[in-house]
Amino acid sequence: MRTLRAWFFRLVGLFKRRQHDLELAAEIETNLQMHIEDKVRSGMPLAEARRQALATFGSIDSARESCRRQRGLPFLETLLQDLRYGARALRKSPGFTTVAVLTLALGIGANTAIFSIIDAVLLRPIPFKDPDRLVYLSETEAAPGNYPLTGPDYLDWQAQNHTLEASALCTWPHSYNASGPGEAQPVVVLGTQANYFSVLGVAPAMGRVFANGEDEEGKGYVIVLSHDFWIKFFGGRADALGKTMDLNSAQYTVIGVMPQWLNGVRTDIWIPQDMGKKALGPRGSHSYRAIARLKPGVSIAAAQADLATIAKRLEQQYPDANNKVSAVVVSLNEQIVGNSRPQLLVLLCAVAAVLLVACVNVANLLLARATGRQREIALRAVLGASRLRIMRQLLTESVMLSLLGAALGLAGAWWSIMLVRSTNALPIPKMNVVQVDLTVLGFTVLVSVVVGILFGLAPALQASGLDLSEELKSSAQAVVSAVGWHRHLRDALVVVEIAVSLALLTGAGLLLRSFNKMRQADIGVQTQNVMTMATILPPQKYASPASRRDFVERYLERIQHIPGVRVAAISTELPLEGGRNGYVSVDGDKDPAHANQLVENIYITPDYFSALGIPMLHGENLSPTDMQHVYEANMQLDELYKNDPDLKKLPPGISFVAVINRTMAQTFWPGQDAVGKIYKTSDGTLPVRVVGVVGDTSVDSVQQKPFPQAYYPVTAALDWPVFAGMVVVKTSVPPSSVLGALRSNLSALDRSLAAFQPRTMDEVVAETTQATGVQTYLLGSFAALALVLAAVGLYSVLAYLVTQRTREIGIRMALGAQQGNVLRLVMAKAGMLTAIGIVAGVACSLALTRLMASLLFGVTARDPLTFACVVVVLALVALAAGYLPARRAMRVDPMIALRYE
Amino acid sequence: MGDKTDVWQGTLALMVLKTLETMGPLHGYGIARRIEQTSGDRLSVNYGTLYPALLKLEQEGSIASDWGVSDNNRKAKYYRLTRAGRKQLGKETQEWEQATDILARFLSAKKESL
Repeated sequence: MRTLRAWFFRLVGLFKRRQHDLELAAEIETNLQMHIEDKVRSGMPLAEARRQALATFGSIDSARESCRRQRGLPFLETLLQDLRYGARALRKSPGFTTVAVLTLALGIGANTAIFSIIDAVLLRPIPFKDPDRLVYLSETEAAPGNYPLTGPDYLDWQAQNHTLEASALCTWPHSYNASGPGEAQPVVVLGTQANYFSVLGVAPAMGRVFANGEDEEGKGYVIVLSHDFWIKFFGGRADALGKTMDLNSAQYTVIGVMPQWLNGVRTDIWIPQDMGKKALGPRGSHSYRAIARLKPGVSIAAAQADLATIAKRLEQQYPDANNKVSAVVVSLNEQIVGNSRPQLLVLLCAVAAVLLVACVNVANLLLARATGRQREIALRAVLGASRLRIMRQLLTESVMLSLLGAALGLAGAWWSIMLVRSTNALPIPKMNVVQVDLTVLGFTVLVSVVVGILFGLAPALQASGLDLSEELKSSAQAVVSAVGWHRHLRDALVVVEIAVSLALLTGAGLLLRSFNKMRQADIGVQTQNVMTMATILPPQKYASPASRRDFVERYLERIQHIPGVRVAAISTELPLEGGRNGYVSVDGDKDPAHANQLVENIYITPDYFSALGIPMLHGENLSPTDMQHVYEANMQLDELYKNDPDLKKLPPGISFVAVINRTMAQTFWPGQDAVGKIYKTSDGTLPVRVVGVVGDTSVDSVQQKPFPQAYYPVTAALDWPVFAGMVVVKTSVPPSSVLGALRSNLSALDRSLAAFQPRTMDEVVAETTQATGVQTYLLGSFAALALVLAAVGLYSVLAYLVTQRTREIGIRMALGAQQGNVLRLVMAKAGMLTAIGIVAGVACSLALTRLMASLLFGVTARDPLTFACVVVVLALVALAAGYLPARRAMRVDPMIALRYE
Repeated sequence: MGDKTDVWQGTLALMVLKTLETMGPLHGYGIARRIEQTSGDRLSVNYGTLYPALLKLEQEGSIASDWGVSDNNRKAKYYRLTRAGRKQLGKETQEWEQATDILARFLSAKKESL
């Protein structure tokens, strides 16, 4: 307790130093006077009294000094002293300080920004209760990959499993028309089982969530709003609860609002999914997903095994629909963030490399500066500073530099984080808010201290190990050449910089090439002057296929006459946006691979091909007769299935027609003309006649290989529960200029319909390449940063070399060396450093770029062209950085150089 | 001067506390003089050790100080014992007596009893 109290006063003492010094001086003075007076009183002459008093007193200075030591905390005081001294030293060379702090700010700032994203996405768990017990359920299919769940399979899993505490089915986000007071607007809606929120462990911010039973047929006209949507649509008013709104022309009542942090899931409205067998659809219709909470202590593998056993049983029970259908259980966290991991790690490596180059650069600057300070440091050593003490002071200085850099970098990082938060440009999940929190701050401080020690260590070691007598005797000029290893150290640092920037440039170059390949990739579509948008026909209002057909025909008729529209079509899918698929069978085809070959199904009006410029290769396009024929066939099918859902054999005469793509023709009828051939759809009942063959288009992404596709008349899709049509128009004017007319014609037909996702086809393509684009942009910026830093590093080493050797160059020139010889002297050095750096960098790149293979498209990780370009760029930049100091060396005036000293 | 002993390390604090207990509030010079007198001028107090020792005692809370006026009208810093200091003094006195007692027994012990 007493010691604690003493320490407290000593800490306080640090800040009252001056006052205490004065007080002590006064005390000593009075005491001394009393002493003298005593002696005088006893009869001593004043002078003698004074002499004796002072002698008894001992050294006043030493008393003062030991009091000071007792009063404060020597360790802290030394630190403060070092900080003060460091601040003075940094202030005295503002140029050096500015360059070093800016360099470090760039490096540390970039690291902080990327780390804050990694912290939010990869390090922090998804923000739900006990997130490690949350899993995501899907199925496997005969074809590889994870498939959506079927409703009936899910119900069986739910009833029979022993490992799940609870599970909840949900749909994919759907677009709905939401109509309130103003114009109809598109909203993103997620259908869920009633217990969805309780499985996640999320409570509403206001109102309630779905009650048990609200997911039964006809009861689910209640909705829960996201916080954002509540603000947008209801102005954030509390009386929104109990209000009604129309979704796809059906009336729903608002029962709850979710908390703000759940905005990251990008859903506007949750509605109960009708869990009735009829609504969920047949076994074999894969269209749902599910989340579940594991029972405490149950592993994911155990749940996986449990569900797989059930799936095996179902496969035996329903050999047709469930052929090779098994269960997949993954952690929900992994499902959400797994895809972002490689891109974020590549970015982290890139910023770490930038920081490394920044560090090396500052180390180089410090080394050059330390040389200038050698005499100062030697003097300190002579005056009794220990080697450790000098190192400590120099390291304090470099950590100060890096902390200054960190402060500035943090400001930059904060700004970029705000940017990341406000845009959706960065394709990352936003479950956790990206922010500068304590973890990020801790990371920044840790990084900057480590970095400060790292780049300060070499100069500090070097400076503290000087031979004192040599230092003080010799002039600063001569000293430099004496310390040979230190120049080699600087050379080595430059080589590291060049190698690291080369590796970064290579990574950026490979991504850039991938990105270009993606942009130029042939997706089988002419994207220029194509406008697209979507519209959804609410099932309540457009209940019959006839009313939907009527809408499609009337809308097409209207938009075809918009000035500037050349061709207009309506389809169910767009290229690059995925879609629906199924199996087909060809009578007599025994190839087992074909049984597992999925075919993409697209439903179109005939002008779809000409609107998108998809070439007709053989045969005919779909005709108006085909549209009518398929419409009638589909109506008959609906009637038949309504009477007998398990219908196995169709009466003769019911058939479809289709146009297929080249890949489908080559897959099923290799070497033959596919036109006129007949195949059957998945359940082996409905015959389809091929009338034409068109070119391939990309289904999911530009990276994907061509996939079998079948185009059916849109009249086969009009009986779907909800009909969503993509409007595709080819224009002779800038495509977005017709959007207004597309919209006004839509509301002229029906005021309650909204235009969803209006985009030009070029924008559709850009969306799929956006992730790579952003990645390329970021990596490219980091690489450019590293290149600039490396160039500065090389420049500073050579410039320093020239300054150091001015005398030598002067002598050489006086003895007859030509300017060319001098130029060669410096450039040879630049060339040598660059060459070693490039060799090391290429070796590094070969090892590192393999890590990013999954991000590349159309180029290999060892693409020779990229490597060659990068080497050339780097060599040119290095030569330019070397030329400036070389030119200065060339212009050395021998007379001035010799007189120098 | 040379024949006087410097105060032993560690005992100065105890002497200061004891002096303040007997004499009441006193300034630094007074404390030094009193210690010297009490020792029969066999001890000499070095101010280089006295001031830090006073400071340390003050930081530990055993003594407190105020500026006052001395007999001959001089402004001086007076130290006084606090309650904590009184307790500390009692404790240390006891410890010291015990230590000297043990040592005395050792030093006076006869050959056979050792």
